Amino acid sequence: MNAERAPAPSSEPELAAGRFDEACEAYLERRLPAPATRAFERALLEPALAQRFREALLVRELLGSVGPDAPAGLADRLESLVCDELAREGRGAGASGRGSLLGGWRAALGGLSWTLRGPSLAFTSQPAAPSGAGPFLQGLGTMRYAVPALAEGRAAREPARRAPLWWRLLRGRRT
Amino acid sequence: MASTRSSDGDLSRACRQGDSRAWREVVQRFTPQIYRLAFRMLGSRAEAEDACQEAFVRMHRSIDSFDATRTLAPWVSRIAYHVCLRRLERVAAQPRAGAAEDELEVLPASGRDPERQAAASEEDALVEGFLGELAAQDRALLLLRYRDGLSDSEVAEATGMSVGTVKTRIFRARARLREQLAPLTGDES
Repeated sequence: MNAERAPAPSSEPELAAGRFDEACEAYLERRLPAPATRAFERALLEPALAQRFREALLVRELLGSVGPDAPAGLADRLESLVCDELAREGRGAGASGRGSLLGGWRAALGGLSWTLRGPSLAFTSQPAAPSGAGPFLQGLGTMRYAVPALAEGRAAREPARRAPLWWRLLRGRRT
Repeated sequence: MASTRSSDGDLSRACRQGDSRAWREVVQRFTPQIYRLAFRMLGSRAEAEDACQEAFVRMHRSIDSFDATRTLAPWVSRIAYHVCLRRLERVAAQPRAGAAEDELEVLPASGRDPERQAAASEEDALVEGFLGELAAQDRALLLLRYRDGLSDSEVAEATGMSVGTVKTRIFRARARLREQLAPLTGDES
């Protein structure tokens, strides 16, 4: 379960409803520990809560079956499109350019552009975010997706050139 | 190999190396999810198909930036979500002509007795109407959470929102839907 909690709803009934809803979600997704599950099931004996639980179930069921299905043949068309891209770039096994500095930077910048696009759109298309939290800062938090590509390349390139710290300290003391 | 599902780590590593079989598997596995998300956000089949295409091209170009220790679904959803947001921004000035007809095609029609079908159609129509009223981002949140089964933190990862924001927006959207369903569920409160 996530350590992060939802911001507190504004009123007391909404708070209670929010907690019950969260418990419903956790119960239906089997995320509740055994004692909490038993307590939740006991609470369902109360008709008002049972009714709320039925509603939660219906909402989940309806949202879970929302369509539409992808049109027939779309996946095949997309498959050939991606294979064409592969062929055009000549990216067979071993030709991915992963080890090169250029490849790492290209991948990182590609990821970075996607990272920044979300927050910038949040500013332009949805100025009134309900949470009030800064969407730009939230988006910057996703920058970690852009970093592994660089880190991977650097780890492969960097040989252990420097002497260990204890050796350098000892040598420093002697001189 | 043909019938088994590769793990996300293996699949992404194979994709990085340009393995066309791995790419085929990615496309087959994620096309339904991306198409649904795109259709719900953009409101038109043609736009959704174009968005799918763009999303896969972008995936292909940025596979090197994917961290193979993570799961693919939130990453794929993030790319698709941002492709759709960009498209929405481009067409923001245009009205959603033809979307209503598209959405009517979505309603399931067969395999139920008339009474149940009528009730189900009422529910489906209600949900369709409800989803139509929501902001595209909220529609995406509900879809990713309930249709695609992503956790709150994965939805946050996909949309770039914080987990708290995701939970609040989903809670509010769900509460609104429950209010609209109240006449059907017999809740008068």
